[in-house]
Amino acid sequence: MRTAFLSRCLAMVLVHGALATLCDQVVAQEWNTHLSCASATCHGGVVGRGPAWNHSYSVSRSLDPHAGAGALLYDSDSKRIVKALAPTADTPEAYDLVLRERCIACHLTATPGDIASKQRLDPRQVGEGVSCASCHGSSKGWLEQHVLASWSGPARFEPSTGMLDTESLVSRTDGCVRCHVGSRTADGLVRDMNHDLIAAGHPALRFDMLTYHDNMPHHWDDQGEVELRFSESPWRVRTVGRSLAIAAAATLSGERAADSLESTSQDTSAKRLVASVPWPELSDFDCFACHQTLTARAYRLPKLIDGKPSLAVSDGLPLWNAWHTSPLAAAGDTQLWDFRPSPGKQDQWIEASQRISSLYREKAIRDAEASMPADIFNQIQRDLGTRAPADWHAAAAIYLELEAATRELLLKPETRDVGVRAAQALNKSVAPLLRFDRDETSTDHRMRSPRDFDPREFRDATLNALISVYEVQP
Amino acid sequence: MATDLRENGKSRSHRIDIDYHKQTNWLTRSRSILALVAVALTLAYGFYVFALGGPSHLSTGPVAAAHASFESDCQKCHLDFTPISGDALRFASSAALDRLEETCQSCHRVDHHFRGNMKPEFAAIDQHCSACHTDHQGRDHDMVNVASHQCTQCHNDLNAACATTSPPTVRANVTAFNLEDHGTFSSLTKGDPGRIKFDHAQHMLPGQVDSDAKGGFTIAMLDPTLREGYRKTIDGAPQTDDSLVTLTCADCHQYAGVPGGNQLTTEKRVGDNEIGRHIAPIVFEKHCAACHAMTTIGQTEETLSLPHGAPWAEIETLIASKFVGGQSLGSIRMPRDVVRKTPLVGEGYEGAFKPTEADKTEADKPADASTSDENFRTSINEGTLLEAAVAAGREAVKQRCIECHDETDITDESIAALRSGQADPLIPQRWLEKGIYDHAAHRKIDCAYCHKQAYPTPDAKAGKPNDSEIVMIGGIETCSGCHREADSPVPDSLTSDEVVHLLGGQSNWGSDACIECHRYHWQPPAPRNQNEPEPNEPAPTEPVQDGIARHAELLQP
Repeated sequence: MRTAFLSRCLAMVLVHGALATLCDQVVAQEWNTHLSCASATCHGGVVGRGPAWNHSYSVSRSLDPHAGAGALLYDSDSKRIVKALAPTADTPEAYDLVLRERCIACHLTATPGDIASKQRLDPRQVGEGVSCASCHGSSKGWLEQHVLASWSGPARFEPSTGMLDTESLVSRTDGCVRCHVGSRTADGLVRDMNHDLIAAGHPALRFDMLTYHDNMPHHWDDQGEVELRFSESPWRVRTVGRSLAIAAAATLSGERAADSLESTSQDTSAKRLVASVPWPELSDFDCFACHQTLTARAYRLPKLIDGKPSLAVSDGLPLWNAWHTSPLAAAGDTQLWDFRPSPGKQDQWIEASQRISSLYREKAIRDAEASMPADIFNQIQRDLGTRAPADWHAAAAIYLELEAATRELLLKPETRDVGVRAAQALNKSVAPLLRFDRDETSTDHRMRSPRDFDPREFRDATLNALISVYEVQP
Repeated sequence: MATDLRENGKSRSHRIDIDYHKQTNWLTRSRSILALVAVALTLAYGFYVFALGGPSHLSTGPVAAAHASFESDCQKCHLDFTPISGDALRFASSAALDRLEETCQSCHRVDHHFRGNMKPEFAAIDQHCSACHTDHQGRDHDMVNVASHQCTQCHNDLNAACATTSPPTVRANVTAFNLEDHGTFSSLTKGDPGRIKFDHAQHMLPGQVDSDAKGGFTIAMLDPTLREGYRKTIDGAPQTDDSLVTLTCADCHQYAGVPGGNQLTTEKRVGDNEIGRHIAPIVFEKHCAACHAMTTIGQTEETLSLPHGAPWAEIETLIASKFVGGQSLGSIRMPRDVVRKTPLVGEGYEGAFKPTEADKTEADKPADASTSDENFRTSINEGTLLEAAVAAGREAVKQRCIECHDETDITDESIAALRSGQADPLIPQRWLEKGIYDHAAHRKIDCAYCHKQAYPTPDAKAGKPNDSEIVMIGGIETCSGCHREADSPVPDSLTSDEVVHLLGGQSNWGSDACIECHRYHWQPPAPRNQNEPEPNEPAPTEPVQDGIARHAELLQP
């Protein structure tokens, strides 16, 4: 028994070691106030005047959804979620306690102290939402230095400075996935958007770096050298984003497994206070494996001949993180077998999470230097010709890859015409097939699902779209 | 035989004619003649004085032009047959001085000069207006040009002049204008009473950043309407929008004269804006706001400027207005605004999280007043969104305030006291409390000559703004080099090339009279009509290039 527990602890150490890249970067548990950035002569200038850095705070504060992430904790949707999570939280104080415990780690720039506090939330903090330090790190170690001409190069992002690297594709994505995928350790905070929250009404997280990056109002210089690395290849952004999302999801899964052990252990020396962590955590798996209409008509599963994934609902085992892994499963990645929801198998899960996380982090690093394959449309065309996508997730992944490739073609004069035709075809005949609400039969967002999605219809439409792109080529 | 020598009546009658009293002699003739001459001269003098005009024979000279209207009305100032001249034999001096003082005060409402602390003989001098302001010296005589010895008759030994036993609160023995005999300016030894956190040296650097720093403020960061005002000409070419803002003293410090240009003409040899002794107070809207604009959260293109020094309730109202207005106009993102984003796969543009009617019914059911749920519903409502935004906006504004102000100075109470004048200004209106400095008269001199500490040094780094802890005015040694005794040699301190350059052609001699800087009476004279030039201002023979403008040239590489 004792040996088993020690092995579990060792496994936890290994998992936490894998998180060093993230955790070590944010050593400070106390954010410097964003307001030191907001001076009119620093980053709070008037939008549209002078260089982008001078009004980066203004752009972020006015238009960035992160700035409103705190305020919306009090709107009707949030009230409904909190009410579902904690039906007895019927006072402002109790409401804020729920927010502190479950929400503000992501929705505010918060510290562990903020989470532990029993006070009402400071409206000033709520009003600022997710502010500068969440992505750029606490400025305590670099506030004075970063204005110097000598402040340049990779040394800026040494862990000792506390400044987070937002300039490389990998590190910027790392900053996003801390919340948009989740983590139970980064910054000393628990950012775990689990099944309880989804059931209460929070949308499931389906992170896509390229889409999210586009949706941020750009508070940076789009023509700068750093940003050109992002804008020159949408395909690269999406590919790296997907790999890192898998790595982060695997890490989170491992942390959930580790914490579920810790929360049930009798070891009172555990340093972190871990509330009861459910295991297995259902949000690790494909939502639609369980949430589907149980009618014969709607129960559409791909036929075996179409390449049914190795772990699908038809097997009674939902696919782990289908949003990220469905294409991998379809491609026969057997490593995903380790993520089987087996009670009492946390050790195995922890080991697998570390392995998967490392694997896809390394892939992301390689992809960050890669270029889009010139024959990407042909590759997808060949794959689709072999088999239809296994499910909505796999189809969405194919669509997203096509969409990224199309956008990259649009950037280059020599491929722009092809890109225009591809964009028109995808928008017209492929994207609508992935819409949850295309029939508008339900207005309940919690019940929205791709229940009407037909993989074969998607395959045919996509193939036709690709054919139409090349048909008009000389 | 004895002879009787006594004169008898007969012998006397022979010796004296009986009608001797009818006879004239030289004495009586002379007396009569002299009497007649005296009468004649009197008549002639009277005729001369009263008929032909000769009032100077009744006084020591014409009164000053300002008093010419009552020159013939001697009793305005004088009592009959009671001289008031300092060296005259006086029999009723007190009454005469009362008359004089009363007459002077009828127009010149000035207070006495510590008279209550003086011994009687010195108090009489204080009361004796004409002791210093000597009249009857001609129409053009400057009665306010008081000689320094009038001051030093007391100030060379205040202990002797004062009747009080307590020592004087100012230097007791001032005999000349130099460090040894006058002492340094007492105002400068008291420290800076200002409470604005500011760094002059940093603001004097191009872009207001250190030479080894990046992120300098550029012309393009300014409001387009203000750019021309800050655009300098360097090496003969105007700065571009990407050029660093390069401030000169004149960008913030202007003469407190008549607003207007500095165009010099043959008729107007001193620019209108140079007329005035002082530098105009710093005003946020005029001197700071171009770079340090006070705006609401998120300065969008439709930025809303906040009034400087307004009550917080007004600021909060404007923040709320900007938040709601910006959202209405699209310059501020609404919570859950999905219009301006690419939808995620699976989501429509109308948003994935539209609450259902069932949800609304569940979440927004009417409160039951009998339960604590009422409080919950009241407190946690949609208004909290704006409340949080306003709170965050106020905090952001506050942080901007305390870049320059102490927190204690930005409370509603402090702001009200400052605006009403009940509190000391955050920047003193004047620094030399007992003296006067005429910036316009010294306009040729480069500002750096007296305000050296306001300039960056090659090794200096921007740090915590601490100018409010430093009095950045040169001491008496910066003045006494030029303001020295007439005919004294030019001191070595003024002969270096650097100093000659800083002086900019200003004469290196000036009077060292006390009244150049000091005034005697507590109650200051009525403000000078600023449309009138200084009477003592020497007319420049050529257009004057003032020190502030010269400093701008010095900044050019």
